[in-house]
Amino acid sequence: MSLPIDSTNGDRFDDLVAGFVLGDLSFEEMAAIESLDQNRFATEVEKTDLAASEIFLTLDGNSGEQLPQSLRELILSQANQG
Amino acid sequence: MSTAAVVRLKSLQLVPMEPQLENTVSRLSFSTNVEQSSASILERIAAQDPSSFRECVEKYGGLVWSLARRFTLNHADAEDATQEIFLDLWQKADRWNRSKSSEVTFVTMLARRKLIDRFRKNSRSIEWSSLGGDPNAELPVTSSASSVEILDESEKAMRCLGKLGEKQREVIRLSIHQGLSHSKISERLEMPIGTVKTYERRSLLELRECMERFERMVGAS
Repeated sequence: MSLPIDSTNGDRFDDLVAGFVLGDLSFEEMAAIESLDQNRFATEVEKTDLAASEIFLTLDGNSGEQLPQSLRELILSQANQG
Repeated sequence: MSTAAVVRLKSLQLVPMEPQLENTVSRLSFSTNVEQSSASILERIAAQDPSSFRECVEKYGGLVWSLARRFTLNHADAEDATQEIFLDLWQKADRWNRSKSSEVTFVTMLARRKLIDRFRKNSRSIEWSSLGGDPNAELPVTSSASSVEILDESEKAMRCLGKLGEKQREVIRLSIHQGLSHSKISERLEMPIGTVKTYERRSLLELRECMERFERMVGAS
């Protein structure tokens, strides 16, 4: 898929970053955009991903929920198996 | 496209990577410094310290479980998602870079990617959770191991969310908290898809800037 993009258009660039971070733009779609500055894009995605994750953290609301004991043991046994 | 850029972007994608690329990413990105004093849990996992796995589950198990419960429809799904997230954490712990994010943010980032990936694959809807819904609400204080870090990060995020306009906040919540696509948000809010994209773009930029300001303030104090 080839998307029209003017790499000098900041809004378009930021749209792509947002779309990628929020899961609306796939890697394949992004890779098809030849005029995109991929290094800058990767840097911006990384920073935005962290910001989105901090917002996602508020979903927990610091609920204090505990992992069920059986699931905890299962995860630890998987970790011990390498 | 350069190989390095492909590797970096692939490492940030929400879908699994090919094993060969995964190995390359592990070597190239998110470098860690295990020689720093007081190595974190993630640094110790990366160094294969056996006791670190248990510590990690003790510290972040409640958080991951809580996020998984809110992003899945039933208990079984939440259990599967939680296992996948911890497996991901074992494999990607070496990508955490303490200069770029806190440990809890990195754990949340991996959880978010995995949960969105599962959610989009299942193409199912989740119930709106009111937890964290009010940006001005007091956050509860708990005694969990990571509560202080979670509280710090959540408070920062909530304050930044509170600075957004009402519509921007609604769009970003539907997107990040519920994992809805542009088109679903457009339908839900009866808003043109272009407007949804604009709100998302502006909101993410404003949130990033706000959080970076917080970081600078903390760093300066």
